[in-house]
Amino acid sequence: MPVHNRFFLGQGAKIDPHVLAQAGPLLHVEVSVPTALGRYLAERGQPIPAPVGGWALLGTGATRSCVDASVLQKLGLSPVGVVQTATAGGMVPQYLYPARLRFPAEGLDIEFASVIGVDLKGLRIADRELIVLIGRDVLAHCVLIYNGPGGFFTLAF
Amino acid sequence: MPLEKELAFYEQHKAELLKHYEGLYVLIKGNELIGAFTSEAEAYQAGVERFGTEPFLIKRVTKEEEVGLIPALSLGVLHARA
Repeated sequence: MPVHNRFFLGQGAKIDPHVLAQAGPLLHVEVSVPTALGRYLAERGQPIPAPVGGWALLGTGATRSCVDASVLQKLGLSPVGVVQTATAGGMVPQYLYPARLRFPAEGLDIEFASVIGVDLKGLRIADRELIVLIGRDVLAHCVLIYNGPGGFFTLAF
Repeated sequence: MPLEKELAFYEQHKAELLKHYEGLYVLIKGNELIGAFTSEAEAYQAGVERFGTEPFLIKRVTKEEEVGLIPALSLGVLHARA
């Protein structure tokens, strides 16, 4: 099981627990069309949309992973389902989309049959544009250790 | 609204689908049941091969519907777009 430690650095390139506290457990991510759709487009000589890069926040709160709806639209993905989500204003139906998420630094590539499309537009954490929330559907296959005093987190999968 | 027809079809036929396909993933396009699959990925593969980039519905056949919990949505920090 590969183990990845992500240290958060402050001034003087020293590990700074406050930087982790501010940013949260973030990973660089690329969102692209699922392999099956990429193959379908390639076989017909149609262009395959380029992956969209940004940042993903790991969280234990969300049942399913979420991707910004504008990213999913940019990739030309059509919805494959609907899920009811609990919101401040009551239950709201949200579209589900297929997507492929790649974490280049970790060498992790996940094909999602469905992620929830949500509006993350303009959400920046520590100057990084957030386009993905990683939920417990991914964490079900991982070990996540958040070391607050140490200023790092560990992800093993 | 995408998938309106497919969702209505699922609701209309839910009792029958539960009888035959409980726990499986059904692929629905318009008013037609295309097939039932053991995984969501298999259903998606079949849907793309047949319908390409057009919307189609993949639904796990269960008595109780799933509720997605996203704390930031629940607190109103993020916004839901129906």
